[in-house]
Amino acid sequence: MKHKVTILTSKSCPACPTAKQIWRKIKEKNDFDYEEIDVMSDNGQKIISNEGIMSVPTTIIDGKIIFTGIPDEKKAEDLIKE
Amino acid sequence: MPIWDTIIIGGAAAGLSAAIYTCRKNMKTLVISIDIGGQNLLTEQEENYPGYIELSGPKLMQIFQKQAINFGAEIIFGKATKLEKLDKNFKITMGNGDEYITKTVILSFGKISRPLNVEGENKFMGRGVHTCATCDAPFTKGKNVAVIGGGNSAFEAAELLTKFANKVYLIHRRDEFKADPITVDKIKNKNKVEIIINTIIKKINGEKNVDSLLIENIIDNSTKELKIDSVFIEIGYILDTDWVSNLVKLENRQIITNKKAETITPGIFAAGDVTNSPYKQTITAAAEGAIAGLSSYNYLRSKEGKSTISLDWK
Repeated sequence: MKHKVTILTSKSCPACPTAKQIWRKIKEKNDFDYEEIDVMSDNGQKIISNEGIMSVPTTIIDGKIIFTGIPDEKKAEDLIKE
Repeated sequence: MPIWDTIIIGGAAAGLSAAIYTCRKNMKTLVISIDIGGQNLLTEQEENYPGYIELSGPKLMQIFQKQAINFGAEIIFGKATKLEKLDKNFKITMGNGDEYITKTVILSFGKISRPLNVEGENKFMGRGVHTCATCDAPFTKGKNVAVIGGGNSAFEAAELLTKFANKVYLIHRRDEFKADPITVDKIKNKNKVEIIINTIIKKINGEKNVDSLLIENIIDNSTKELKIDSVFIEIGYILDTDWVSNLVKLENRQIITNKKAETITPGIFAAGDVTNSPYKQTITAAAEGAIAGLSSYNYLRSKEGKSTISLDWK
């Protein structure tokens, strides 16, 4: 099954560029669906309301909140390879 | 397993500068870091970093990173949790169990947010417990929140939160504040803010998310449950140096170094905020990183019986 990774970020979040950088790096080496969503966008607002997300960066993998904060690169890549 | 010439722990001004210098000496260099930028990520304008008139901390760090990568540095994102001295080399173990072997180590990881160390803090991290008001303030629209601390960062967080939250409690364990009086006065006059002094947090309660704090007045020892949706911990920063204390000498959690960025263990160097250097500036961190990089190069040369470079302008 092809995994789907969604990372929620905001423009005011200092940790978000690093979190996005990690996922982009993993994406270069692995095949999975990937999207970056700004929490202030309509879609972002919908997701944070539905999932009860209260913090950025947050990574959702296959519909589940997996990382709050900057993800560990190895753990993140291992999950994608599962 | 490859053996690195140097592994640099920490990817901000000191670490990335060190990487630029080690890579330029053709040293096989790995940077291990939880982020790129560290404390610089919180700096809106690096007004005192020479060479740039207007540049944010994150942008400046992106340039450092690009330079380091252009010279050949590799970067791994994660947390190093163990440093061991082997016969000839050093072993670094990551929180995820991965191990790396290196001939030299440069410690340049800086500070982390000081934890409250109360029940519920880790359980609800990101689900009502926050350490970054800039990141998470927009999630508090119409909610009741608490800020813990009495310094400038706590008051600045409280001010930011008044733009979103319904009510902001500022809770401090003393009856006086470290924050600048002008900042304190500004917050005291806000209708949404209630300042609670002489009070500590005993527990953070909730089911899925935070729903209250158990607080204790330290004067009369009375306890009370305070209904809130989010708590922002703003009690300063600490140096996370316990995990290297077996191989370096510490003073107030800072790593003691000499002018060559050397620690008490040959082959381990340190630079930036993590050291006992009296000044914690981006430019001093970058300079210390460069020194640590060159010193690690000299250390390797010396070990291989080659001449070292003590005066590189000669």
